[in-house]
Amino acid sequence: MSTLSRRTLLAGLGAATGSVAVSACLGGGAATKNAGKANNSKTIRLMNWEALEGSPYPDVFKAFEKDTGYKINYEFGASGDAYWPKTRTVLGSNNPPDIMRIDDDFVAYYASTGKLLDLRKNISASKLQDSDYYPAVFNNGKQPDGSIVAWSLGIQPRVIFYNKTMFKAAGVPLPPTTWTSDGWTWDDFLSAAKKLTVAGKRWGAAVIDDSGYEVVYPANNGGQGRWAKDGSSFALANAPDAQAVQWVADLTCKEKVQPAWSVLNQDQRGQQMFIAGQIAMMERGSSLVPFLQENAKDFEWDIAPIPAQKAQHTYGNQIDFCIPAGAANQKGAWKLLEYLTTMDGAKFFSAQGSMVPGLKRAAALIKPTSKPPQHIDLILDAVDNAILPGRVVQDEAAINVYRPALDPVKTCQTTAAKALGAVRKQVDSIVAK
Amino acid sequence: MVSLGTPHRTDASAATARRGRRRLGSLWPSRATGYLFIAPLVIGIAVFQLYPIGVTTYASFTQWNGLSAPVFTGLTNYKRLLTDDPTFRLVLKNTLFFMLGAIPLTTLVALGLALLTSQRRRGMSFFRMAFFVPFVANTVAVSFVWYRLFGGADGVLNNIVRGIGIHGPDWLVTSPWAMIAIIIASVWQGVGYPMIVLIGGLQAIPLTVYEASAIDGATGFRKFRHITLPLVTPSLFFVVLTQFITTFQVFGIVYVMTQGGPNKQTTVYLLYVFNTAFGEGQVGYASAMAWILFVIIGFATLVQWRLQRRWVFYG
Repeated sequence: MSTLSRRTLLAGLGAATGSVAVSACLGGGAATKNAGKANNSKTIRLMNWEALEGSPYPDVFKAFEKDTGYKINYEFGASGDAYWPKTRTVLGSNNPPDIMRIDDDFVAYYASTGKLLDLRKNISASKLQDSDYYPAVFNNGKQPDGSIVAWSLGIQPRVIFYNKTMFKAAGVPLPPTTWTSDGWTWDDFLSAAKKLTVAGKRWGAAVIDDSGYEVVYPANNGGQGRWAKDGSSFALANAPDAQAVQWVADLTCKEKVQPAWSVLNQDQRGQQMFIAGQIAMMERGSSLVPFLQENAKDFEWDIAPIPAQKAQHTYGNQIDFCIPAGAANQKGAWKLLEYLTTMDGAKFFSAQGSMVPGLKRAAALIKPTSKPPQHIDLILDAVDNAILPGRVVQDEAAINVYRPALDPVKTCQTTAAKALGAVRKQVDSIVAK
Repeated sequence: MVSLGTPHRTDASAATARRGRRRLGSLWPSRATGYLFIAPLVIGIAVFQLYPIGVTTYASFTQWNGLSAPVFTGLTNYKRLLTDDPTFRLVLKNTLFFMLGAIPLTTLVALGLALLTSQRRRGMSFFRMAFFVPFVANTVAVSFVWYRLFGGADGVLNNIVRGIGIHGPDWLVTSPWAMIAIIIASVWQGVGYPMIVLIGGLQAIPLTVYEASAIDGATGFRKFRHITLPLVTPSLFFVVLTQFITTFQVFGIVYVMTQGGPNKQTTVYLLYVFNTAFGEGQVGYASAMAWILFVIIGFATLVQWRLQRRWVFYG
């Protein structure tokens, strides 16, 4: 019988650990173990940042499972910003899900790493035509080299949610019900907000707590939003963009019609205050529609266009999904993605009203119902006026520099021009990478 | 003739050898059992500590985003950290601010609570438990409660002080209030453990010493100054040392309450490591930061260990 000394055991363990560590490093955490393997599994692993309950997915997944015989294993990744590191670790692992939600801001970055499957062949094989889709949706995942690494189910355009009851009680003219600038410019918006504000009790507007303002207001002020359209530079520091950021901050600092940043900074506080009748107007994506339908019962509310300045654009979050290059069941994943973005699946999203499906025929099903908002079809106009902003590969690294710099602007301690000018060089150097 | 050089193996000695083999044989299963007992720990350490240490060491010399293969860059990460990263310097400053606030405050409050609750009076065990509970409570839950308490201009705390005519600061979105809020929350959560350690130290002081001092006419504060304090210094040393190590690695409470804001004024060391590695995808660079952290903590611990001769009294 051979003996096993402590030294031998520890040396063995050490050697094993070392080899695993080195091999893992050399492999770079590559997620290619499963890639290319034929997989006829009827189970699809899907990861998302939304809890299934209250989302539009249960009905459409049920229909998909019934129609195709596949079974979906829904994995809740993490919510909010915590999903970002989750995305990285999952894509860096050897066992990514078959299909996963991906933040539209970071698609360009992950495309550059080669971790996402190029969907062009699938799109072509499924005979999906770009003319059937909204351009802002169809082209969302398209990269400069022509590859399409993410596929959007639809868009959640930003609009103004307003408390109609409050408007009527204050004798303030209601915002327009179509996408027009008539009577709905920045000045009109501010004027309405001032009339609706009751010092210490309620505020006329809440815009600053929706990070989309960084794109919407600069773009409407003749600027470009965060990045230049070609993704070559940090545009938010340019004069028209910084002026727009300042205008939004001044709703709190100068005009006193928006709650303090310390209040709105708290998670979901703006919408809670809206429901409590403490905020008259707020800018949000259409994803808020089901939440307000469920919770805003004590007053009448509706949606209005984004106020105009030099232009009247909006910006929508895309419901992007991707198939990891290392996913085991790429066939099933595409089957699901195709289902969700063609009529069979997309019609479910139209019925729910939280987003506009990329497929125009499905989007056309969005009609006013007995439930608020009365002018739900305005979100279709919003998609027509949605811009597709410039993208940069190092998006998160750049955001991590400029967004903290805006904190003192939001708390009225400095100006947007100063704060953004101070970090321009640093952000530009990141963007240039 | 019996050779002197070669021991003659008698039947008796052969039997002894057989018994010896049987003993060795019976020893093997017991040794194997021992290895099996330590295996979970050894495997745990190997997988969750040695393996990450190996990967981190290698990664710190590479440019690696955690997705693609790492590219060896030698000492570039360390050079950049020490000479070309203003955020790193800010983060060190923030962490130092936090430590200078949290360590003395936690230690003083813990000592005060230990003195109060180590008295042999009725109900003291309840108070000890009450002060210790936050330490074992979930950090995220504790942080969220404090986040709500400080929560902005209309937070619970500001609403209370408004009642007495004080306009409280915007705690979590202005500097230095955000860091002060974190220190307060951290002290509240962390005071339980050092309190228990100090209670142990206080209870180890022989009563005879106090009795002797009483005979010599020593009063309350004199007893504390000349007996309690010197004799509790070994426990105080342990408390300060462990506080130093843990406060340098504060993460959860900051992540929940401010996420490093406003304008990175509460971005502490580990949060910066986390954001750099998992947010920005600079895993190699963040690994170098982790090693610098190890060196700082190691060096500071060594210095404290040496300095203890000057103030720690082992009786």
